[in-house]
Amino acid sequence: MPLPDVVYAQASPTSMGGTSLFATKARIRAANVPSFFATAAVVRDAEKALKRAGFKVLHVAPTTINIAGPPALYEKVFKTKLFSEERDVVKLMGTADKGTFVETRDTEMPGLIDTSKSPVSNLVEGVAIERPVYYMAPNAYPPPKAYWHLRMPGDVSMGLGADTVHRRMGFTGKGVKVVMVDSGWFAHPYFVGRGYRASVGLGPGSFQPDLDGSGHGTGESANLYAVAPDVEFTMMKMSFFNSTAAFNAAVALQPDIISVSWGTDVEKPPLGAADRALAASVAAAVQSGIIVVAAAGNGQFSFPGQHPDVISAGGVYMKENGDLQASSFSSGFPSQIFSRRNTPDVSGLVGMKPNGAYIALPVEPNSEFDAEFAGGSHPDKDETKPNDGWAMFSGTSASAPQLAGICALMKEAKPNLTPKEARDILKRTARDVTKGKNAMGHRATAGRDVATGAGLADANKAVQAAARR
Amino acid sequence: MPPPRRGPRRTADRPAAALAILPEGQSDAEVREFFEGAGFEVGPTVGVSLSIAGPERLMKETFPDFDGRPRELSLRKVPRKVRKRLDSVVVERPPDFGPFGPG
Repeated sequence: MPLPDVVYAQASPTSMGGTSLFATKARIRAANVPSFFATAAVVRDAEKALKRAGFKVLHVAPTTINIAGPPALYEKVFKTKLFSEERDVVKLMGTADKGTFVETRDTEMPGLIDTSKSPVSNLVEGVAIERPVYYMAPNAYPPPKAYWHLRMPGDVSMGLGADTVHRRMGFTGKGVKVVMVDSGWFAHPYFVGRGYRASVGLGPGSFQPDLDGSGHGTGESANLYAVAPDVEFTMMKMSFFNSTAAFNAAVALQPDIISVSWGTDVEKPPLGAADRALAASVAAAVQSGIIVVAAAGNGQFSFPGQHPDVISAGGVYMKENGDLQASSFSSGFPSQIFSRRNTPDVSGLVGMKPNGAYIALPVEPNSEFDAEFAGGSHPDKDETKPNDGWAMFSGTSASAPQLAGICALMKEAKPNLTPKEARDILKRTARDVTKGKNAMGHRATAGRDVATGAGLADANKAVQAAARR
Repeated sequence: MPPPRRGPRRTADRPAAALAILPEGQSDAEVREFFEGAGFEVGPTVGVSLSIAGPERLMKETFPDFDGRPRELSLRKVPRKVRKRLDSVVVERPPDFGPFGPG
């Protein structure tokens, strides 16, 4: 096969972290990708040098500069030899076919041009030749699996009694502002196909608003939409080293509800400085009328999940026959930080140990959650592909946005509902759970307990109670 | 093997952030003015905290012990009158569950 007239490639400006994007043995993730960025000066100089050499610069990003040029130009500038080869590929809809790849023998890494003999060697650490790609957008529908699990949005909506609210009362969260502080939000076809709307804010120190390399925020947000599909949703993407700052940024948006699906593990006092600051931020948010829902933890003594002002979200497992029991994956405990504070207040739907693999959730393809739960056999793994854009997980991270969704329905029914009223109603109207033990070994009993709080939240009863107030 | 790394050494322009914590009931005016004047992007004050963000170079100039890892930062290079208005400046440790683990 002849070489194409134009070859496209990604030139990587020298990474500021000291190790080349192409030489690192580390898996590149959201937490470490900044070390593969180049400084603004290096990016600028590399762009100029590549243009001077004759390449067309199509796009400039912190990690790569997209260039195009004829094969002969690459061969001249990088002292390399390009050739084409046919390889077996799988194209759209799984069709086996042949694809044409442009290659070099410069390095052992397929498609990598060595830049060491070129005039840009001090600015560009390598050039990756673009390979043919075939449309593999994630499917809008989760892959079918034989084991018992919940499919979105129907199973979660029905399990929490939200579908009745949607149909009979007409409340879907319209006009209610909900912010989730998490790893980001990817516009998955699951969301786009259903017309779910979202905006993304960047918390201090975070970047790339259109990506969610973790998958956690994207997946858990589906729990919110299942319960309140018409909320005005914002994902506040957080830097993992700046979670309180991201929470503060969420408060500054003055939403009706903030949902927090993460926490630090704090069993005993004292709280550290950052947690004390977060405690004050939570208190200030609730004092201003914002309902804050926070995950109780997946075996951790979660903070802010044990803060006295939040709605602390625990976990209940619903079996295939509808029977309920405490989730063995979810936390629940008397707080030793805040006296007379038992968590959780109330529970959402959460899976069981070892991993809570329970709800089919859309994630960015090849994200951490997509890859790490993939393959194997349930319940250790989810039996999905590592890059299919679907993963089976839950945790109290799922419960928090589920409860936030019920709060949104209540808020639509009763706009002046206070955070305390919302929590009281959720606790008063929940379905009692009397079986099973939670992750701390606390047994569910008749009435309120630390295994599930008041039990599984019931959106139908809660919204009716809110509307009557 | 991929080619070895070449080119200039790492510089300190990567983005960095920390959380400034005020004593309870303390106005944020002087703290905000100082960090904004120093070139930081200062976030909203909620409760007793506000974020400060800027290039790593600036963070290191202001807090010599800053290395991007979770810790309480030394305030010795912060002017005394601002230091008196601060409880602490911390780089937060990542949450223990959530984006890092199964739900």
